[in-house]
Amino acid sequence: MNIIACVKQVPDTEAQIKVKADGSGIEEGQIKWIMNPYDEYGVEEALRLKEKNGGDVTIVSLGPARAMETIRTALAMGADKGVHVCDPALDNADAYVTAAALAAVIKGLPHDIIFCGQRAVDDDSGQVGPILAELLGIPQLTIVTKTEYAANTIKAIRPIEGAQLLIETSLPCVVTAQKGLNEPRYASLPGIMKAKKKPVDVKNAAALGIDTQAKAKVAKFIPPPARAAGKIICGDDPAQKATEVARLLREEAKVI
Amino acid sequence: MSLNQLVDSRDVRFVVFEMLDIDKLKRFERFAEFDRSMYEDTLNLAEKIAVNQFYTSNADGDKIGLKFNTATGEVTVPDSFHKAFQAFTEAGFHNLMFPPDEGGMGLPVTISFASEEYFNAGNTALSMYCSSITGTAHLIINNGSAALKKMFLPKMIAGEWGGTMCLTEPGAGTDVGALKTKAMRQSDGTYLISGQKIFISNGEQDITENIIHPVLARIEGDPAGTKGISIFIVPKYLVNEDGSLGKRNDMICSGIEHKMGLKGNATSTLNFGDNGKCVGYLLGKECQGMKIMFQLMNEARIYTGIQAQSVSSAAYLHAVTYARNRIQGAHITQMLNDSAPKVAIIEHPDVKRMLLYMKSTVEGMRMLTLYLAYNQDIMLSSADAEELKETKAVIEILTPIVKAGISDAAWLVTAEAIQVYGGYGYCQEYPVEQYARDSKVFSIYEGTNAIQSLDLQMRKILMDPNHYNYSILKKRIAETLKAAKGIVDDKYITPVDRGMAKLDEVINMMSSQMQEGKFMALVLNATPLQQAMFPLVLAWLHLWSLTITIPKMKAFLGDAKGEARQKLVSENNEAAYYGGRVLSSQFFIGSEYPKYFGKMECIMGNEGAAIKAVSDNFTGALKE
Ligand SMILES: Cc1cc2nc3c(=O)[nH]c(=O)nc-3n(C[C@H](O)[C@H](O)[C@H](O)COP(=O)(O)OP(=O)(O)OC[C@H]3O[C@@H](n4cnc5c(N)ncnc54)[C@H](O)[C@@H]3O)c2cc1C
Repeated sequence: MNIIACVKQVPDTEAQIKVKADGSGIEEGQIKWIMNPYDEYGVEEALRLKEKNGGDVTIVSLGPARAMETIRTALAMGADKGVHVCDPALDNADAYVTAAALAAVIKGLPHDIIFCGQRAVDDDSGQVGPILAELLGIPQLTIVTKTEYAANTIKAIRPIEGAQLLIETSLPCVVTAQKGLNEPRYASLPGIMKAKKKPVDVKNAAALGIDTQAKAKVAKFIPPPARAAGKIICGDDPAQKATEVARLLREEAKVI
Repeated sequence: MSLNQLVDSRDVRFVVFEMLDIDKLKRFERFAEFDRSMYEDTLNLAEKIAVNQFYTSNADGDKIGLKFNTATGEVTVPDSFHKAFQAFTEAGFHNLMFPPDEGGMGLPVTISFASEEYFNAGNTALSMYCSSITGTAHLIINNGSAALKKMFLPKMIAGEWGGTMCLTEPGAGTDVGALKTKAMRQSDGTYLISGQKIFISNGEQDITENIIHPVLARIEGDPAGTKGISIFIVPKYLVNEDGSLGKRNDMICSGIEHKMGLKGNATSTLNFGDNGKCVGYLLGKECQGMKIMFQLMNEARIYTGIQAQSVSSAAYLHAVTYARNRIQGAHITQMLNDSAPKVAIIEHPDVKRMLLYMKSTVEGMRMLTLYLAYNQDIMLSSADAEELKETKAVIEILTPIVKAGISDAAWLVTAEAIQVYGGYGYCQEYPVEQYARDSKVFSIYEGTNAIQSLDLQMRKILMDPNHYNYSILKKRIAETLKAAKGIVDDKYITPVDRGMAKLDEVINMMSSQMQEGKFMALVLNATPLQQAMFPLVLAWLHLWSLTITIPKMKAFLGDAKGEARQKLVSENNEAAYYGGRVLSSQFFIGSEYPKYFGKMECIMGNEGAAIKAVSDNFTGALKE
């Protein structure tokens, strides 16, 4: 089976994000970068599928030079090879351009099933998997928490409000992974060693023949407002304090 | 590398990459292929497993604890331990530094120690089960016959069988030579073992399917004392020809201790040969037991230092986070202002002092253990006789300081963490009291600190021909003093320089006492000497680190003062790191280390009260 897992390098969820003074982006120098957690479920699912049915797992990632670390992490978990789309022209790629780049890579590779995370925890757009499926002209099973494979078909569970959908489709297809799909394995030390020797193809936009012009542009990054200081209501008379709370809730907070 | 509650990952990187400059190890062929990204990946993996699996099971070890089944002699560990152990061994951390031809990764000891800090800070009771494989397997790798290696190593390397080290008996604690466990030669070359060992860490557990015990015993007819001791490998289950598990050996766990801390680790009483059928395999030659076990004991002593450092690190980081969030009282400068805002306790000068004490001590511990590790890497790789000789000297003299110095300090640092938490720190709902309880045993096992101190004073210094070990330590410190000139303010150099002169004086005095046969006065100063040398060594390492951190800090902060400096520090993590690291070293050399001179004065005073005091002078206590 030819299995593909797409991964994105994102800031660690524990990292303290600081927005650049001019709002053009975030301060990157001080961030720890990790594999997008939803992509990790995808990689794990890909590895399990390979362990069951044979075949190989190719990791595809678009990102700056540092994204190579994330590809290596997936290789250390057990994937076989990687493709790194790396081009400064793609630094501001939106979901469409990203999906187009991934599609261009994947078209050139044999593929039976493609895993993505259901969204990336940095921009939360959740569109790359679906656009990728459209560009490849294949079915998509999104936000999946369970899969079952048979010859040339896949069944998947997708939770929806108050229920679950059981969806079935033929291969090839795109599957986007949701939390709960599996518990990703850790890399291992022998895996880390082997990963160094596994092949990773580096490609730029020209080699892929894609238009790097983003369709959506981030106008400005704005940090969330700092939490305002709390207010302590002083006084000895509880009734008076309660009246004051009610007044503030109505007049200042405007919630009642 | 990210923020976590166990280990300051940035500081680990500083010591490994900036201070020790581990890339220099590339000059040895065995490390030539490794690069920084490989080391980073290893440390990141250790951190991830430690944070997700070890830290989350730490309270289980303490609060759920172990279950002992008196009928079967079996021990059940908390559920969460199994998964964590599996994650550790599947990743291959127990083999990290074994040579590749023995199935290991061949990574530097430095990276191994740095990884161990994460696991032990996460859950030290559990880490002991993990590292027991490493210790026992290493003993077999270095001393086992081909047959023994074949019988035990594959499963140990695979992480499927655990290990222990069995020395202590009811009548043989510090005095190992007094042991009574016996071995009888059999015609097939094996031995029958009979006797009882107590206090055996990892002695029984349900994590691995088999446990491999190295056991010290005396072959019938061999001389009394340590010279008549041999070492045997005694498996819980015998091993079939094909390597599979055979029948149960005649040995059983007859109980586990109920302890103050480290409750997740089974401190076991092991009965060998209750039915006269306990099979043991001789390791090495007869009567070489102490010599062989010393290898494991030395490793275990250093490991104890790392445990102590790790638990201190976790206690420290918890205290910082708590102090940032606990609001109590107004700032001291607003004492008389009733309406002054209340502040986080980290703003109170005395709390900051406690935190700096902890920070500088933990960072000192980390520099010390990693420096020792780095020297071990050289020791295991170099072909240069002079370099080997010097490196060995450094390791010899620093080993008892790592074990005793760090373990004594861990008790103080973890106690300080409780103090930072105030009343909450004393309560079991909060995590720091466990750290203190867990840490106490580090000064006791693997040779009490009294024994470490005698080892330092006698074997490693006074009886060492020409005081070679000591002369090399002095040489290394002198190099740092020289390098610091012009970079570090003299205020932080002079005390270390003066301290070295003082140490010379004390060691000269002790040498004369030895020649004059003033043995009592001499040994009475063993522990004080060890307790003085620990802060001296830490001051040296802090001075060394200042030669790197000061230029870095200046690059980030320039001459900025007051609010401008505060702004730079709050906006840039690296500026905050280097700035904090400089303050930590300055605090240690300026506020903590000067106590050394008082300690040295005590030693020079040669107060004889403890010599004169006899048992009867301790009145008021019962005879029995
Ligand atoms: C939790 C735990 C885990 C342990 N794990 C293991 C293990 O895995 N394997 C193992 O073999 N043992 C283990 N031990 C045993 C441990 O190594 C011993 O407890 C230790 O060596 C001290 O021996 P003891 O308890 O008999 O104390 P004692 O030897 O009775 O010592 C009592 C006191 O007297 C002092 N003292 C004794 N002799 C001298 C001397 N000659 N000079 C100066 N002072 C002296 C000691 O320093 C100490 O302060 C463990 C113990 C504990 C508590």
